[in-house]
Amino acid sequence: VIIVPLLGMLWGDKALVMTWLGAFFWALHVQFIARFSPRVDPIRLSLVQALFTSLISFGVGFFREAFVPQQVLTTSLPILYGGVISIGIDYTMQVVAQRAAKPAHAAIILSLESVFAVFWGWLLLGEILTVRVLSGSALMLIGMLISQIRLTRPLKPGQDREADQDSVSRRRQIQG
Amino acid sequence: MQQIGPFILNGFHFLAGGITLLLVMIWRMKSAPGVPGDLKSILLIGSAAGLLLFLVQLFNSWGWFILLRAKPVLSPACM
Repeated sequence: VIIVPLLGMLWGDKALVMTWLGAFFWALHVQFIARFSPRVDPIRLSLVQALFTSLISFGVGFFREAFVPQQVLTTSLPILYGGVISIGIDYTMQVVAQRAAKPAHAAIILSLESVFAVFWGWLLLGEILTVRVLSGSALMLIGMLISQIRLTRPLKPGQDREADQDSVSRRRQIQG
Repeated sequence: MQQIGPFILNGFHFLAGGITLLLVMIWRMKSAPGVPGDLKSILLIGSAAGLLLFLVQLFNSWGWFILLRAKPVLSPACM
């Protein structure tokens, strides 16, 4: 998510720069939700969030794009599916879950979105899983697991990991 | 064939999600009235979160469209 777009920036690839910007704002969104979601009702927060995003999108869309009502009617079922499942349920679940989960943990699970998409596409839509798709999913899963491996000394029985880290950082502050 | 642009498509997606949540909220208010929450805070936090979400969608969608060397529009078949 971070390294590949940064390499793209060095090579002057605009698409990767934009992807990196997307990842940056996504990380901001995860942090923002983690900070503010415990303060308000999650359903109401998700509702305002969805309507505000819709409003801005329509605002930009009406200036930049041709609006064809017939096409919207033709594609109303996929739009409804994406809206109800992805926006209505998915983003609300994120807000609800982040009231308790740490932002780093939530970000790792959320970054598996494409892996879940592949899985449900295979299960529900009967999509064919190519070697490339399976390799990509496996790499993402491995990356997620590696990010969770802690390269610290083993804890003694009954010792709390967070408390241990806090005590180490406090000790460093005192020594420094 | 006329195609739906990504912004309008995004607008309809989020509108459908918003309407779903509105229905859930109305149902919740009927079954368990008195859900706590300061309206001003909800509007402020929700709008800021919505703006961030729009920026995520903006850069991701347009980034991938350029990456795939495709036109910045979605046909119904793409969905």
